[in-house]
Formats: sequence, C-alpha cells, structure tokens
Amino acid sequence: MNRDEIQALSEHLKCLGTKAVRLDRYLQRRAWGVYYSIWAVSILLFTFLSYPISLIRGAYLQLAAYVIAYVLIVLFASYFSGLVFSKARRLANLESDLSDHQDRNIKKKCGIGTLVLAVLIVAIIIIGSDLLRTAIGVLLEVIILALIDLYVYRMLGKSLGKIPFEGLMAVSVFMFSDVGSAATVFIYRSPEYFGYLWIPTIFAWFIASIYSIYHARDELVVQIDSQECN
Amino acid sequence: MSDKSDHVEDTAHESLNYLLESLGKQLNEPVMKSTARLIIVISLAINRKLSFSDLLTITALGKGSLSNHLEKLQKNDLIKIRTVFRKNGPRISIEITETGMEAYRNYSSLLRKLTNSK
Repeated sequence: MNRDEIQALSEHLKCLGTKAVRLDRYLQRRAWGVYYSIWAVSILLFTFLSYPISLIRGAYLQLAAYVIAYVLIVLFASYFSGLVFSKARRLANLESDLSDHQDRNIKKKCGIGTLVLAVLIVAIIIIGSDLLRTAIGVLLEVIILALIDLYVYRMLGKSLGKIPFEGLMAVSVFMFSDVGSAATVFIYRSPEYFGYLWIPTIFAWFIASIYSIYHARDELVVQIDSQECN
Repeated sequence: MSDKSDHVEDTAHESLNYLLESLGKQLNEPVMKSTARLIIVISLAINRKLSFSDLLTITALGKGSLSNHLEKLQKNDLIKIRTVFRKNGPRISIEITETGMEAYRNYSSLLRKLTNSK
C-alpha cells in the first residue's frame, strides 16, 4: 500500500468509527435514562425502607430484614450501573483510538467501578447505622457520596460527550441532597430530617429518566448531516 | 541506517496488510467497501447485545438489507441471533461472539496503527 492508500483507508476507518460513536450516543442516553430511574427507586427505598423495617418485632429479625433488603437493592442497582459504566468505558476507548492523542490509560482510569461499589456500600452502612449520628460519620458520608457523584459526572461526559440537561440536573440535585442532608444532621443534631433532603433527588432523577429516554432520539438527528464514509 | 528504517516500514506495512486482510475476511467484504457491517460490529462490541429494532434505528437500513448483513455476519460466526419471547411478542436479539470481538480488536488495532503511521 502506498501513502495515499493508507491515508484513504485511515480516513475511511476513522469516519466509520466516528459515525458509530455518534449513533451509539442514542443507545447510551437511553441506558442513562434507565440508570436514573433505577437509582431513583433505590434512593427512595434506601431512605424510607427503614421506617417499615423498624416496625418488625425482634431486634435480630429487624437487622436481618434491614441487611437483606439493603444488600439486594445495592446489588441490583450496582449491577445495572456496572453495565452502563462499562458501555461508557468501551465507547471512551473507541473514541481514544479515533483521536490523534490516544489515551491508553482510559481503561485504567475508568475501571474503578469496583472501588465505587465498595465506597457505596460504606456509605450505606453509614446511613443505616449509628455512625450517622456522629460528625465523622456524616462527613464521611458527604465525601463518599460526593465522590460517587463526581464519578457519575465523569462517566456521563465519557459516554455522551457534551453532558445533556438532564445529566447536569441529576448530578447537581444529588450534590444538593448530599450536602443538604448532612447539614440537617449538623443543625438538628439528629438524622431525623436526613431522608427528606433526598426527596428532590428522587423526583429529579425520575424526571431525568423520562427526559433522557424521551430525548434519546435527538442524538440520531446529528447523524443526518454526517458523512457517509464511502 | 536506511536499511533498518526500510525494514521497519516493511514490517509495519506487512502487519497493516495482515490486519486488513483478516478484517476483510471476517466481514466477508473488503474493508474499504464495508460500512454497515463494520458499524454493526462496532455497535455490538460496545453494547455486547442489541435488539434488531435498535440496529434498524442506528444503521438506518431497511429490514431486508439489515437481515442480509446480519445473516452474513452470523455465517462468519461474528454474531449470534436469538429470538426471545416477550409478553408483547417475539424479539430478535443480536449478540457479539468472541470472533466478533476479535474482528473489533482488529479494527481497533488498525486504527491505532494507521494513526501512529502518520
């Protein structure tokens, strides 16, 4: 192959890759839509499931119900998050191959899903235990959830390029609930109002989910003007 | 010195040609002519599994044309086509195979090699 042929082939393959990335954003945005709704339900359960569980008689039975319910919720939500994040990571890897400044560390940088799951479990233990009554526990919870929020923000950017409106809304409201709920614990010296500050996040994430699924097709409009690669 | 750089260039060309040939064989058509099949393989490599209607939406192909491409990809063992029965009727699910992932890796290596050879 001479230089011209290599050039033509390179352009053809890049064009195909770029087109595939653009088209894939439709699927990614839809997957994020499902992700928001799964976490909206999970946050709702995390926050308010403790009330019906507290009605169960017997300390051991209550503890067992609490552990089983919370572990199941975390596992289900984390499994789905893992699917969304791994798709985002694979898309980011392809984008890196397409760019002239290939970032070989993306896989390593994005592959911290297990760590995120671990900190998420720690956050839930803090929320569900007496640790939330201590200043250190509250601070830990704020930091862990803020880190998770930043991770979600980063993955949104990786999979969708420009983060859409609903993504920004979901991430910002989550941060508000995180800081706000912790502030109530400090102000009232009790976790009594902790759950109420998560209600805006539950609503915002449900709205983000509907908006994301409904507007996923907007991503396909971009391809109409895109080159045909032939 | 010049012999050494010529040798390096020859080896790079050989490996490029090899990748091109294998990808062409896997796709059942020359790489320069393949658009739809490569896009299907790339999308499946990213998502692992997609429905027929999703592929219809993202490729913007007609049903017949897409079926034809999928049939050829399945013949070459790049994908697996399954019919899943749901409440609202049967749904065709397309999954990438290990051979399909290999084809994607070939594409990805080609891209990297071409970018580096500039």
